Amino acid sequence: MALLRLEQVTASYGNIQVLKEINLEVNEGEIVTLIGANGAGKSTTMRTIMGLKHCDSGKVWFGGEDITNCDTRIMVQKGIILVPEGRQVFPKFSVKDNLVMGAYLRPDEEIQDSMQIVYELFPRLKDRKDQLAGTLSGGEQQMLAVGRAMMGKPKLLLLDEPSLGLAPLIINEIFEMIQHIRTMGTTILLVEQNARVALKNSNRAYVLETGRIVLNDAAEVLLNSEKVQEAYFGGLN
Amino acid sequence: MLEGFCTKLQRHHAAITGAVLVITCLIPFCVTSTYVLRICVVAQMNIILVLSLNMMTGLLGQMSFGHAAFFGIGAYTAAILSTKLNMPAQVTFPAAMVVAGLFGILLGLPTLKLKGYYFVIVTMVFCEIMRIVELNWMEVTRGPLGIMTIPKPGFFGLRISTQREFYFLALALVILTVIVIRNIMNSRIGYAILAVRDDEVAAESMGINIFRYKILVFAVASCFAGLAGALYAQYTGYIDPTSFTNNKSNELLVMVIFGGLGNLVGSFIGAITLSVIPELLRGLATYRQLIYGIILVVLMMVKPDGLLGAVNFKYLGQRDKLKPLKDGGKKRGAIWWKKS
Repeated sequence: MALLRLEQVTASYGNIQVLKEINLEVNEGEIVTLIGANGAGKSTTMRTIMGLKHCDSGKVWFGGEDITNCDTRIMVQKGIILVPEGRQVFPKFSVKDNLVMGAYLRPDEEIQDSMQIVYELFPRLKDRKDQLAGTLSGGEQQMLAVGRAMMGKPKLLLLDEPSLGLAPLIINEIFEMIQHIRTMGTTILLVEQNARVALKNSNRAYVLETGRIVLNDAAEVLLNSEKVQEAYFGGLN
Repeated sequence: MLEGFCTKLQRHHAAITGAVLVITCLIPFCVTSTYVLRICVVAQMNIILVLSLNMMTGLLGQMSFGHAAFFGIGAYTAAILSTKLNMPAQVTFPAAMVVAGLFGILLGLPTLKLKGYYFVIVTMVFCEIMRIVELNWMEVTRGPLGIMTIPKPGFFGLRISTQREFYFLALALVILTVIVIRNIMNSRIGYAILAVRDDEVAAESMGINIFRYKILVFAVASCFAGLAGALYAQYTGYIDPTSFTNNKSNELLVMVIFGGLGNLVGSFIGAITLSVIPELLRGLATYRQLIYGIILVVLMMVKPDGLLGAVNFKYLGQRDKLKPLKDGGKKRGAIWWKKS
């Protein structure tokens, strides 16, 4: 059974319908990517899953439960955690306090263990644990954002454009981390502009175009599909 | 340099707090001039106002230009209750807090989603609306005539009438304010409030209920503004709408920014300095406002964050503990007067 399932989800901002009957499934242990141009509705899909944006119709199922339009708080408690777009760390908090905030809804005694796990995952964060998050480099901030999300012990991690504004080398590092997190038993739903790297690192992918899912296949198939190449790789291949 | 100095402050914060408390308790016994004591009481009242405004503006990140409105609401509540219904101070002070707090929630509800300039405008307008209501609601507020002969406060039969007694009443209220705000900010609620300031989207994705914490801060901040209002009304014995205009709001905001947004120690410095400077400059008569202005401009050029805006005492303390000790730990814990 799918861990996360979206059924005919529609959502709109005012009069503009942004999501048009989206059907989407994420199975346990997978990395699934959503690709699409700007304004295709990728981030809105994420926000709808998190309950940050309420959908007009359709259903969201998580682990067999109906979680449509629940409070974000409930989503976090159930184990869905979002890493928002553009490395949104708390700039005036120290790195350590940022991580503590990630475990906001969890009992205090579990925080230390989780923090150890995150520090093992991102040793660089440990070196900088007393530094203000706003003074970290872009890559480190993205690591912190992912680490903070891991503090909530997610079953499903939603990553919104983790490669935004990062150098290619750092992007590779981030994606290695994502693979590593998957092996720790976390399912991942990814939104990416950087379609090539994203597809190389995921099992399946959905292609969104103006609020509709137009393609849906295994990642390798899409990577080699002419349509995707034309639209997203600019015919460079 | 400032950071090093603040690290030292943080290292001995218990001793320093104690010393400051002792000195503030001694002042009214060493100084007998009613003029000086009056300035002290006003400064303490401003501390309460600035601390509460700092909670809203510096800690939650909502730039409020209407804090004087809550100050006025508290003042009028206390004044009306004590003149018309002869209520004692143990009723008027809490009532002023509750009424101001309720208005804080009322203002908070529709403005939750507003940020930056839009929030500024709404709070400014709110302050103006309150002033106009106070000016025109003759039956209740006596409009421009103001409310006169407000009785001095009495707590459970304990009359407070001399300057010295007012000094200690104000001091007690300042301590109450500090304890409440400090405890909130040191708890998980405080973390959530700061997280909302730093990044609302990220905070919400962590499962923090933004709505709840914003309303809480609005309520607490306006509560304490109301408390300061009650003190003001029953201290001066006369209030009228001119004391609660946008001018007062701006003055408070300047104090917050002078001390440093989000820094509670800074709020003390800002409130005290900017309450005392205008009095010190009184002898210069015509040039007073000019010099006051120049001081502010220079500060904004030299330290745009305000005096302590960039200082986080908690982190300074943490970093200080991690620092390797050059002298094997002799210096730490040594207090300045014991140094050989």
